[in-house]
Amino acid sequence: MQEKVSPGAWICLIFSFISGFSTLFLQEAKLLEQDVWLSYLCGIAMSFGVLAVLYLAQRNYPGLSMTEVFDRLLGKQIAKICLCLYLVYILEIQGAAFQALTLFYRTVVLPNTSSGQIILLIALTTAYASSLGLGAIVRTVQVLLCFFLFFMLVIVVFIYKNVTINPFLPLFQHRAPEIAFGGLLSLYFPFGKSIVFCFLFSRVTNRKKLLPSTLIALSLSGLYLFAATYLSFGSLGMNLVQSVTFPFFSAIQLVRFGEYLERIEIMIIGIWTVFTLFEIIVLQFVFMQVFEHIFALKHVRALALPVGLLFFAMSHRSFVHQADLSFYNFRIGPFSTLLPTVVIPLLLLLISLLKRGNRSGEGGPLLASSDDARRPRS
Amino acid sequence: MVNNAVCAIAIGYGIGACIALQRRGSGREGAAVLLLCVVVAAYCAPVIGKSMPTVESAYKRIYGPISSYMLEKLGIR
Repeated sequence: MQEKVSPGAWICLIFSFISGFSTLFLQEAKLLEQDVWLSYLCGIAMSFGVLAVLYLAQRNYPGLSMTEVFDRLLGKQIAKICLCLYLVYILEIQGAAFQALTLFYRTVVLPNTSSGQIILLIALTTAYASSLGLGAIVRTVQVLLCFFLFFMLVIVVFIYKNVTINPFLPLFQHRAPEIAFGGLLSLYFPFGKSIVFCFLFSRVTNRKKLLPSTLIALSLSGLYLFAATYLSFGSLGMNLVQSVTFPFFSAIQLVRFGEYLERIEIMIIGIWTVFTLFEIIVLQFVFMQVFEHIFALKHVRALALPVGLLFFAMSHRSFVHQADLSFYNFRIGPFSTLLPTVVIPLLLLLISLLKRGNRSGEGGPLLASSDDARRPRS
Repeated sequence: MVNNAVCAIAIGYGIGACIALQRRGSGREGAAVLLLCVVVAAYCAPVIGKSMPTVESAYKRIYGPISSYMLEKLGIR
């Protein structure tokens, strides 16, 4: 019995998934400065476009999950290869996520703890959480989102009091290729990660509200990222934003409450950590779903621990040096993300449209024979 | 230290879970758990773990030249 998610819970889940890590490095902001809002808009538009494309490709098969739609559109063998590509994609972004979180903790809170211990702790915690099922994950997100939004609102108001320069001007100081690359960076991280939610489309109760809810969630997370970026610009200044590793946290560190409460960022770090863990929990959950489909397995809880340990092993052996992570996020990630995030969804839509045209008798003879051959089996 | 511990846990859990699942009649699931645990153990093993390919190293090799070419064409840094 698969647990279903309401559209409101869907919005909360996508918002938490994207917003957890989005304000960590502010990489596009370091590249584009005041013009970064253009790259955020591009990233949101492209991510929503890709999810809409996948929704349209799935429309002809209303009762099926996305993995089964892959089978129907591509044939079982090619679908297995494509789904393995998505498993590799999940391993790619989870490796970066684990190492980013570990880097943050070792820089800010726990400098003497080895990265292996932190990664193992995160992996075991998230493996247990993802084994509880989608219903439990979604309900936890809905409960914790109130605390997160409350603390973030308070912090935003207090950072606003520290803003000394106008962060919006001067506009359009960057060339079109730089803004285009910024859009690609935004697609790689954070907005394009939402593609993994295509594997959970079948879990949403009201299918008509799926796309509007997704757009609302992406826009809200874009708004949060926009606020964090421009507040960092305003309170730290452009030069400092470009030189520090975690600009938003440096902006939070400047906040003082009254006479006594100085290290407010420690509380914010606690809440923020829980939200970054949600991204890893959802990634593990989707990984298990896709893995179970590829190997035609029944769902067993015994898979949760090996998947968690696989995430640990892969992350621990990747991005060994800090410079590796920034190099990968800037140079390799934007290009490696194109295949699973853009190419395969467009391919699926094309095949879905061709098959629909073929079924209504307007298509060419090329697909007709393969469809006839497939019809008796299905 | 952490790697060796995880390697041992993975092997032990893999064998144990595989046997338990086979007794319950879920042979495929047992094999899948064992496969995942063997992969984990390979990555965490003392000597061969460091030279195992990761997604990062593979993608750097595949997309590195494409990335350098595109960034040069776009004129970014």
